Parts: sequence; structure tokens; C-alpha cells
Amino acid sequence: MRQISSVDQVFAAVQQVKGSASAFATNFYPVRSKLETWIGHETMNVATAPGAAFFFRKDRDFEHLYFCAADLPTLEKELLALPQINSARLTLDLIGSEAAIQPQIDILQKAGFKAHTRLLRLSRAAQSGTVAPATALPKNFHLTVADECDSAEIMKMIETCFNPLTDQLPAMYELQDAIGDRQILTVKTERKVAAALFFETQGLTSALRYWVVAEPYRSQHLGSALMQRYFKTQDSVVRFILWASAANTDALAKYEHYGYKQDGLMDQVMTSAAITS
Amino acid sequence: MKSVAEILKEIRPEFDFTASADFMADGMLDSFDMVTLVAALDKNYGISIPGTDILPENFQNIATIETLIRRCGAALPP
Repeated sequence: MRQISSVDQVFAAVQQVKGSASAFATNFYPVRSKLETWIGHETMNVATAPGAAFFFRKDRDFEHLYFCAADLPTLEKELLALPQINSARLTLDLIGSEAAIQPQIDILQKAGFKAHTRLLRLSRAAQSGTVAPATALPKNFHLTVADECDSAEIMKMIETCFNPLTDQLPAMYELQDAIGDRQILTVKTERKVAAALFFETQGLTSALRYWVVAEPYRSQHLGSALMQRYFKTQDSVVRFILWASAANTDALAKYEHYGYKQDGLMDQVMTSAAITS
Repeated sequence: MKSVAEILKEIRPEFDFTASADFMADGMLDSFDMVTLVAALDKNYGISIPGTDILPENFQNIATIETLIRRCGAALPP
């Protein structure tokens, strides 16, 4: 396994697999800007084999695994041959329809992976959904764009409320970049962050990444105020998307309240044998 | 048989795909949407788009998608 030092190295490894592919299989959908950031922070490694490439991205105390394989039998063979397959803490995302990803799930299970969480993608057309008029915040609370000095507090909230294995939690540099891009809204009280909404807008689509209200401040409509401001500020966006756990029926109901609907895409998160929780 | 524009409209009815030259840059499709789109194109045109062709440049706009479909052996409606 070797560390990746350039985006070109990634694409060359993928291209090499594609060159010999009869039924190319992958869970790797890299976006150049994200790749550049990950590589710049020395978090990406690659292991190659005939007809397959495996990319590892460090994240906290585990790694995300991405694969490209010439076909499924090659994926199975080379996955089982990976030295770290039994010992490393790995997570992997399989995205598509249930029928399309089932053969890959079967192979991963043979390699010791377990189904961990199923995420559903929800979409909302800008003109759909009923958004109530702006909610008045309680006294001493105000809604504002996050500031650099809020980063540690926001990170703590995200890490407390979301699962690092399934929710693609940001690194501190990603969170700081989002603050710089004015893509985190907060509700504050007495200089403390009570609630935050983290989003990423690309052209006509905006992805809601994290929406969180700190425990002491719940049931005061802070989340609702953030969501309304989010929709209002993203007035050139046509499609809003997010991923949510299929098992979290409360969250799904909340998103549906704001006009989000399941769009048929799912993400099966798998974890390696070394992850026991 | 539906046209590419009709299939795109079914998948993402909120966008006007005829007005864009670069679906990815304009945020109208992401790499995950390509998975859904490929399945719809395969079904509609009776083709099997190879995994090696599932590249952003082949899904940049209606013209590039049509080129891909023709390369896979399907005829397109006029």
C-alpha cells in the first residue's frame, strides 16, 4: 500500500482497472475538489492488484474503503487477498438500487464485512414543500452565519450527534472551509452555539449535511428557524438533497415535513470485521 | 421509446436539462444520479452501458449522453 500524492495517481489507478474491465464494479465516485483536499492532507492510500484498485481514506480511528474492479470475481479474489482485510477498521458505502448492489454485498460479506446502516437519499424541489413563515427565535437567541471561532463547538456537536462510521463526518479543515464559504448557519445564545445547519451548494443543487440542535436547547424551534433560513438563503437552488438513516423514522418524518421525499437511491454502509460496535 | 431529455425529466423533473451544457457543473446531476440514469437508459434503449463508460464526461449534457447511447448500439428517436 502506498500514499497517494496526486489526483492523477488516483485516476491512473482507476484507468488501469478500466482498461482490463469486462464488468467494471466500483463504489468510488470521486469529486476532484474533495480528492485534492484529502490528498493534500495525506489521508489517501492505494493498494493495487491485477484488475483491482483499493483506495483507503483515513478518518478518525477507521478508514473508508473504495474499490474499483474489472469484474465481481476479481473484486472477491483481491478483496480477500488484502492483508489488512481482517485487522483494519474499515467502512464502505455501496450506492444504488437494492438489486444492483446485492451482488457486491454478498462479496463483501464473504470478506467479513457486515451490513451496518442503510441510508436513503431524499430530494426536495425548491418550489415544493410547505415552509412556514420564519419562526421567531426565543429571546436572547440569534441566527447567524458561523464564524471561525465556532468551529470547535460545531465539531463537538456534530461528533456528539452523528455516527462517524456512517455519516461522513467532516475533518476540522473541511468544517473550517465550510465556515469560510458561509455554508454553516448557527443559532447562538450568549456566544454559545445552540444549533447549526451545515450545507454544501453546488450549482443548482444543495446538500444538507448536518442539522443539529444541542440537547439543552431542543423544543424551542431553533432547528425550524435554521431550516427556513437555509431555504431562503439558497434562493437559486432548484434541488435540495440529503441522506438519512432508513431506521431513523423521526428524522425521515421531519424531513418529509419540509418537503423532502425519498428519491430511490440508497447507500448500504458496510463495516469490516474489526469494527464490532 | 423516450428521448434522453424525457428520461432526464422523469428522473429530475425540477431541472430544465435542455438549458445546460454541463449538468455536473450546474449541479443538475451528481455522480450518484449517474447510477440511476444509467439504469433508466439501459432499460429504455435495451442496451447495457459498460461500467467503463460511466464517466462524468459521458453525462455532461444531452449530446454526450446521446453519443454514448449510439456507441452502445442503440438508435435514438428523431
